[in-house]
Amino acid sequence: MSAEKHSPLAQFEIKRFVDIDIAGVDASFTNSSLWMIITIVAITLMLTLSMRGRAMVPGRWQSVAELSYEFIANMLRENVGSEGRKFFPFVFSLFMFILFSNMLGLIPYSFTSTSHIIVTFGMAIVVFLGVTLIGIIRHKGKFLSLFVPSGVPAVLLLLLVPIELISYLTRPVSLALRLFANMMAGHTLLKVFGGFVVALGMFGVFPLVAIVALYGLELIVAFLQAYVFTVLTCLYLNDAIHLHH
Amino acid sequence: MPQLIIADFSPQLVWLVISFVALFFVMSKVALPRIGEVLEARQERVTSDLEKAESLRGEADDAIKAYETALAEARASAHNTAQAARDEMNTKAEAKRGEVEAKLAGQLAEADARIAAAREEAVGHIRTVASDTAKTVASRLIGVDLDDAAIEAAVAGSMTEGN
Amino acid sequence: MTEEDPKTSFQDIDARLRAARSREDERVTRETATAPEKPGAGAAMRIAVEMISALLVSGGIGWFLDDWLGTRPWVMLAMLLVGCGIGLRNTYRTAMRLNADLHEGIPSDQQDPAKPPED
Repeated sequence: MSAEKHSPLAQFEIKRFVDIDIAGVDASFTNSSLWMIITIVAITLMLTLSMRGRAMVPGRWQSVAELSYEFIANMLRENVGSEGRKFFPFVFSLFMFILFSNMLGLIPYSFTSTSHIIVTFGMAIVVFLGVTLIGIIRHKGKFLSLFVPSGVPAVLLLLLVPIELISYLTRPVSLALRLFANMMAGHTLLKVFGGFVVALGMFGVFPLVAIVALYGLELIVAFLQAYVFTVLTCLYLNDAIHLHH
Repeated sequence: MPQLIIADFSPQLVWLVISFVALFFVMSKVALPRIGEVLEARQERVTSDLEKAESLRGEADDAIKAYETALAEARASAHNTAQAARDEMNTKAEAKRGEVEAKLAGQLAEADARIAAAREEAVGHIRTVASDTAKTVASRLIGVDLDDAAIEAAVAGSMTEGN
Repeated sequence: MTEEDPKTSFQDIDARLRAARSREDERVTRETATAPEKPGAGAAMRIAVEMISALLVSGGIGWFLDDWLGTRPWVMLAMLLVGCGIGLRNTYRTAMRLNADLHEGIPSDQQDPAKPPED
């Protein structure tokens, strides 16, 4: 344990608690699963308990719930318009899930499910496929005009359309990579500095100051990355619905 | 890097799907409608309260205007009433004074007349007495019986002279 | 007990009413969301993310094309070059779109003053 724990990457290890196999698919309950469950329970508790009173003048927790609701509602309205309304529950769930995963991951000895590329990629690919499907269903063949830049001679199109296509395919990768990289970098850095504090003993005050500052920064990053992921989802949704970027 | 262990991918994806779907259902069926409800109710409440406050403010304005006009009216009518009373009183006093003056003038004239009559009478008496006296004096002194007409004329002439 | 001049108290009410109305209108037209900090420090991270994504995707496509055409490693190398361009372009684009979103009317920090604490 001791040798393992000192590696700043050890915190990302997946530990299997219960081996589960569903039709040949490995569905083992791991520390990642545990923290995902904690995440959704925390979100649910926060949003339901705080609204229990349904007070006209909201208390602190109710304000938080209402603010997050309006935050995402405004984001959708601004970036997608009125057609975005029916995607509100999905976008809201996405934002809350990422935000809470990021935030809960900052608790010492916890696990950050969003620091795993497969999780962020899973979410990104769902967004990507969903958005592409919405675009195709809404606009049929006209959806392809998304890859044809306007006002460009036909010869150049031969070059530009593949580029646009690759650019489009890059979306889920960068979406997933951005969140994953930010989460992993932040947590690794925290762990490294935390190691310094322990190693330096008394003189650990200096890295301690650094770690407090870093912690504050990571809280901002945790929010910002959830925000960026969600905003980009909205922007992609807007592209698919309105066919322009 | 633990994130690149392919064997760990499948359980994470499975549980991501499970937890996200669960979250999505709880959010869309329970949490979000509840928050939306409260926000809507508050919005309605705030709007209606503001409207009410504004209409009440308007009513208050009207009330003030009504009050001010009533006040002005009352003031004007009070002024009028006072003026009328004053005028009435003036005319009454004027009439009374006229009456009294007339009465006084009447009494004065009456008194004048009485005095004049008395004097007339007195003068008349004097004349008769004078003529009688003159007649007697004349008859005694000169033994002449003067006729009355001459005496009276003489008396009248002397009286006017004496006057 | 001093008699309050009704004129001044009404002016006071008017002022408060106007303030409440404008606050409310503002709240309705603008959004109450608080803006996150503008990402400035993470420029290197953003460029890296966009570049790596573009290189991964175009490199991957090249790799499969090489497989298919038997031209290893040429198509992949060419695609990596293309990927560099796409990555730079995407970096710029994403930054523009995110910036536009951040600048667009999200008022910074207009919290309701003095929320009564409940617990």
